[in-house]
Amino acid sequence: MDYNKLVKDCLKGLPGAQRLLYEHFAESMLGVCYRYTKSMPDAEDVLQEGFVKVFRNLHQFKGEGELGAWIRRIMVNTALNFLKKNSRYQSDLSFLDPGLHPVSDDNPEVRLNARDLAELIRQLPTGYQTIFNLHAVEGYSHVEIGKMLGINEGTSRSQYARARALLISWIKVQTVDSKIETYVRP
Amino acid sequence: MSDHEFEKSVQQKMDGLKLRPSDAVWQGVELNLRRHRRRRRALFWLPAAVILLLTGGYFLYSGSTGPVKDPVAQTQESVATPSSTQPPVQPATRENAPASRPEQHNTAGVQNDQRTYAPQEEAVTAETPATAYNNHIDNHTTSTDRQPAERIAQQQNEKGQGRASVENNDQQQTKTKVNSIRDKSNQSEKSVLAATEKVKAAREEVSDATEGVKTTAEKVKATGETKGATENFKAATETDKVATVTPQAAAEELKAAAAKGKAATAKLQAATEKTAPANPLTNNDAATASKGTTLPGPEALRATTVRGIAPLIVPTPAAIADSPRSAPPVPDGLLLPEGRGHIVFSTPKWQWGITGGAGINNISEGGVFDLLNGVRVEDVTLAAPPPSFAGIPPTPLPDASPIRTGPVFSLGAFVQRNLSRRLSLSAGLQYTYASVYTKVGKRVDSMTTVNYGATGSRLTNQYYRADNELHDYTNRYHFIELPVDLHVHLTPGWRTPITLSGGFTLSRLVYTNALHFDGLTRVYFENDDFFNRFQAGFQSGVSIGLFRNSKHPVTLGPTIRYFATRLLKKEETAAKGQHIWSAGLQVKMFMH
Repeated sequence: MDYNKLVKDCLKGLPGAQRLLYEHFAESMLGVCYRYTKSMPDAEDVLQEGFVKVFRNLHQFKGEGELGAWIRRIMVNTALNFLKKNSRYQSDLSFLDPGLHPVSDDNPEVRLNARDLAELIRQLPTGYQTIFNLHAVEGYSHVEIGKMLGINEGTSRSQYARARALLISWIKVQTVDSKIETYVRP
Repeated sequence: MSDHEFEKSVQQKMDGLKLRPSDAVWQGVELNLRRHRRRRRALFWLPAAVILLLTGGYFLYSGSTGPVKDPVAQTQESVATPSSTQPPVQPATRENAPASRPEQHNTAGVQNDQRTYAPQEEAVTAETPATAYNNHIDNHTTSTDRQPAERIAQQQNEKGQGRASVENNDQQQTKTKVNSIRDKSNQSEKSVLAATEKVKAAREEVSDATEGVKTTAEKVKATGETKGATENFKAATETDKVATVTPQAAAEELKAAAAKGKAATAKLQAATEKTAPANPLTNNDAATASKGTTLPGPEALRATTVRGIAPLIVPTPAAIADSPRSAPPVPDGLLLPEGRGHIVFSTPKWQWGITGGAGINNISEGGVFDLLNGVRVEDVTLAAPPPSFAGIPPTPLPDASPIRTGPVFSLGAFVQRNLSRRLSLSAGLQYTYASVYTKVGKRVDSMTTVNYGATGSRLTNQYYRADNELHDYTNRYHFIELPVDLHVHLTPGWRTPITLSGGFTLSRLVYTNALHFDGLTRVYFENDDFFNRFQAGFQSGVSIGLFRNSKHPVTLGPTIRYFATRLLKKEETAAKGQHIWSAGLQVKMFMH
């Protein structure tokens, strides 16, 4: 797909082009929003707000990078704003003081499918969930995460280690459960 | 597995996560974009309307309070003491009279009511918009905007119901139908008209309700309005058979939207109640991590969480650049606008800075549209041209010298309150030096009597002759000013944003050496008592922002200013009404 032409047509205000851009990225971006929220309606709210921002600021996309990455960053920032503004998340978007945290070299093989893995990530407490998403999936460093969330780098590391360990333990349980099911099943 | 293999694996899985959003999301996006477009149009015309109103108001004001034609009659009590050098006061014979992008689609040649029927269009275009766009590209058609209309027409033809003409009836057509019914049945005439009015009201309500359906919460809010509108439609259609199919269809769609809203609300409530997701850990022992650290379940973690809301902070540009997934920079307005402890890109509510400007200054007579007409030093007397005697033309006396453009500059400070992303208000305090040039004759340092107004006169110990060795003289005006401006940021997201500004200025004339012309004795003299010390003016300008991401952003652009207050006091002099105006470049530097 010729993104440059698509962007130009969107900037001209052609409804078909806007719809095509939306349809091209909506599914993958809902996946992003889904990981940061706790419910599908919330994820869709973030997606809608994110796409409104995308279209309003499309003139700032200079074609220097990948359009998908640019949209993804907008979605992530929109999701963080959503978590901050939404009272249901505010109380949960808090972080433990940096202290002892589990240090695990465990690197289990992830055999879960994407949806199941996303469900597990979404069941982490919001603070863990956010930091895990930002570091493990988006690839932000702990320094960047610290600046984004207004926390210490150490806190980010600690929270991430806890989130990671917790998630790995859940994945193991899920994997064992599925193996048992497989074994029991005739 | 090697280090970070887990992260890589998770990243790969999550990159592949795709979920299908509901149709309501796109409808919300589309509605929001339409609103945004309308708002931008309104914002663009607002300053122009304000300027037009101010200009019109000024003309009305100046028209109603024009100079008095016969000042002598009004100043009969004033007694002058003619001096030996003063010619006899002549009767006052000289006249003192002052001198909109519509998004409608033409379907079958009938106009649509865009607001009312927007949901129908969306329903039609929502079928295969991407395909339509691709067809547009493939077929090299000139306008994509036409395609929804064509599709609507095609669909209507296929259905063969001839609904297009009914659906696209405007209110005049409705009225025509009402009239035809009225012809058929005179008894029901009044009820038909009343019903038509109800249809109008209901249409308006429906359109309002349609616009109200944006977010889930708004959808729920719109439910009430939709219900009301639908009920109105029902009442109207029951009373009047003229009620068209279109409002019914619109009402049905709105009902559907309302139902969607309800469903979304129910989901939201369910999500709210679901404060803790089911713990996937069925065996706590299995949750024990390596090196003896016990890992709690989600509930336990929540219980031990420190309840402090961490502020969200925008990443610095450097941090963004260093990001492992270096994506293009995110636009300014998109980053966490209200976080504590931010800020890299977002604009603070309060800003202050210094301002300066330079340009040209001149004096005009009449209104704002006479700025470029040449004027002369104002004659503060009611001197008449010398009469001819027995057909012999009088000896020509020198007129007052013309006024020429001079420089102006200003320097000051301002404070600005950013009301929204697009609007801000500023007030400042500044010193302005304005000047104009004229030509006067030799300076005379001796006592003489000069005249002003109808019969006033006074002694002065210094004056300039008007009839010999003309040389340049600079009329200087020193003002202390309080400008107040409203700024409309037309392109807030651009690197060099364009801003339209307009406002008013209250000024105090601190000092001036400007000369007045005595038309009777033909001399120039100074007297700052004749000036209106307080001047009210208005200004407008456009500017571009520079160095936006630096510590001290700068705006630069042309401005024009016009003092609506007369320069000279009308009561004391016979002045026609001159006004100072200036134009130039203004620079603002934000210090915070």
